[in-house]
Amino acid sequence: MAARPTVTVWSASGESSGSVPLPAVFTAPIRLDVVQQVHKSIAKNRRQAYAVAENAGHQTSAESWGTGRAVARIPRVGGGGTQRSGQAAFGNMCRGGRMFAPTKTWRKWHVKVNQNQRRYAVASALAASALPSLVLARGHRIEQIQEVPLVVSSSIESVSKTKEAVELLKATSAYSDITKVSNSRKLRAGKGKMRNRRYRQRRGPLVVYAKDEGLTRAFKNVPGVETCPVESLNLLQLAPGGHVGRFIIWTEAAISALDSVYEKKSGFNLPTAKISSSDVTRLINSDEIQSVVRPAGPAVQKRPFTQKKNPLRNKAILFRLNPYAKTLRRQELLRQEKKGKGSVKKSVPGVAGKEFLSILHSA
Amino acid sequence: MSADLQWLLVRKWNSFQVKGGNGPSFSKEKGNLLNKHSHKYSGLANSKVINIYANPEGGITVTKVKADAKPNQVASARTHVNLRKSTGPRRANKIAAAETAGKGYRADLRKVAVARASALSRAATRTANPPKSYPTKQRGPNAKKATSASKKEDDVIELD
Repeated sequence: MAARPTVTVWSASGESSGSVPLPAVFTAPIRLDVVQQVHKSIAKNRRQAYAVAENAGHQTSAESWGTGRAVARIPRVGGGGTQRSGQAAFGNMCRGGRMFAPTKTWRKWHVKVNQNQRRYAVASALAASALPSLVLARGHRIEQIQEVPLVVSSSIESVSKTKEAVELLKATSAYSDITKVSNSRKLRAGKGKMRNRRYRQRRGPLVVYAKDEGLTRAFKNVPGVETCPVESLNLLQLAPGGHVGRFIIWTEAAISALDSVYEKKSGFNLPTAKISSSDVTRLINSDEIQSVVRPAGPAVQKRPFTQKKNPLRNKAILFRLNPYAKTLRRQELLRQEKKGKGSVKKSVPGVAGKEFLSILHSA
Repeated sequence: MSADLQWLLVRKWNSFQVKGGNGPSFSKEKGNLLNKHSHKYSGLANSKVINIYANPEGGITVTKVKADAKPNQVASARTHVNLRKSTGPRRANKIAAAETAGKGYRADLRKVAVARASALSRAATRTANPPKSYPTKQRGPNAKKATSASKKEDDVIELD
């Protein structure tokens, strides 16, 4: 068994200061389908109820005129003297009527997701956050940082000033991700502007801590940075938009607590990969597979760019495809040759056979 | 995590891909020599990636992943070879070939690496000496008009 991989711990000034073993969660299989499905459902749980007014379209004393007035039997507004009188009401097809199936505030806004699925998704998202390529693929600017996951000494939990927090981010080369967030800040399109969602911007790093001693307040005003305690990791933060690979900055205490956090979850075993090696090239070239496969045959040179010959016109190609065509053709030629020689003599009715005659005469 | 599996994870969606209508889909991550969205050229889902790019000093930089790099290293996993601005295209191409195929790194990328290095040095010479533009000679009635106009301007200047 190979030694358990470790991650370097970086001090607040950006120098390496020891290492911690990588928690087991980071080897969980990365299941995009699980993460996406769970994210889709969890994201629905923060919706605010909305509905049309309960009495919308019903604030009139309309009644049907019945038959015999040569108009549809829809309820009509009574009285006279206004434009409204005589107009149809109530129906979903009527102007000023209620909508079809009016929306209700008691719609099912929340979606239940099985606890094990939620935990699986979080484990997957955490595992993805430890792969540089996936963090890059999410769009985080991590080219300058030394390692992923980025672990910083626990002293940063007591950082209480935003200035210090920014210095820390600069020291660990994580600040380019903040720059990306600042540059991405745009005025939101639509009504959201007047509903406390004025700007939209990218997501920056997520700072995961064990104990908050001022850290959350220090990082609160750094653009794009979110903070989260290690006991309550949230899929919406670990995989925003359902895309795994959030850039996570851990404190040393947080990452060392991660194993115990997962041990405490009763009834949940960390998912493991179905196959130990997913390297296809290595699998193909392994002794186990190479010993059972047939040896490679001689190389067949395909000539895809030669001109295609029409077998109906080109005899050589035709005979290659259908060898019997040659016989057919030969017979046809012979027949025509015979025909060309003129009328073939009709065969003279021959003399009966000897045996036949002997039997005939003996009678 | 193998490169094959990583490719499956970044293939469907990643922040670098550029899908433009019906044509081929491109990718703009670092280390993608053809900027093409495919496993072979991907700068994300390969254990050995080579990046050839123009550096701010006007030369070419070749970045590779160290052989002994751990999978979770990012900046420390990469080595850089900086070519000076004075490095000529032939030498740059030779170095690009040597860095890919010559050291048992990524022989399959040799041709595209050379092509990229060549294109970069060509672009560098082009920016250093932009092609001269000659004024187009005018003929016929246009030429007459041009001469008369310039004469008028000259007159104005003389008056001043």
